[in-house]
Amino acid sequence: MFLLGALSHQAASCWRRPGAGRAMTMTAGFMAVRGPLYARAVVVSYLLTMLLGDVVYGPYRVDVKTMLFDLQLWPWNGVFEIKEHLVALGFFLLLPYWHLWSTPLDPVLERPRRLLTSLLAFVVWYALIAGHLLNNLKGVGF
Amino acid sequence: MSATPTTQRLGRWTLAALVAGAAYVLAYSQDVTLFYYYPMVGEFHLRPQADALGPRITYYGWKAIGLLAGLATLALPKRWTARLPPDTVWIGALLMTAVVLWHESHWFFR
Repeated sequence: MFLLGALSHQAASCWRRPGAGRAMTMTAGFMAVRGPLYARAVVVSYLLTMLLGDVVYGPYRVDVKTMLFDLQLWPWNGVFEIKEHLVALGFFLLLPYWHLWSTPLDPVLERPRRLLTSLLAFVVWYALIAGHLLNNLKGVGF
Repeated sequence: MSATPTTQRLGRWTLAALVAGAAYVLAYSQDVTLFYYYPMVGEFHLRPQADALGPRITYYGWKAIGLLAGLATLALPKRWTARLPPDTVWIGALLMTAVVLWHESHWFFR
């Protein structure tokens, strides 16, 4: 949840117009954060979350994935496969992501920073939603 | 656009990340892995084992392949990566995401 919040705030901050002034609305407030402050926490929490996901993948493979195959719930398996691959790709992209947010921010790198951060936020949102939906179908250990 | 020290370093990380991602995608799409993990018995093996060991996990091996490929890329001379355009990182990331979505789309049309 921390990862999701931090990346969402940071991605939103990338789309804020320069010199937008003081945030007067809730949306503007959501976007008006200092993105660089989040970078290290995002990297650490991404790694920790992925590690936890890797740990729980064993029981998932035995309990849930087997059930998905037995019941031929192919689309649900697809939802999971996409999740695991996107999370792995996001993991490989953490190095350039961290570099893009190293201070002082290079204005030349504004577009890559904005789009890569947004893509990582999409990956984390997708992983959360896919994980929740699959957990509703059958939780690990239940 | 002339390459600044920041963009030069970004080129290095970008290439490593994209090579790692491409190696991962290639490995999983071709079902090639470094090792297999059998969660029911908690064992790692270099080759597929009998069904008696239960379902196997190849995911960890795919990630290891990506990680090794990325690390190997970091050993390339800096001058090879210094002129990589900064936009390469998000374009490459987007392309790999598209490849994953396309490759996994068959699950939704069975």
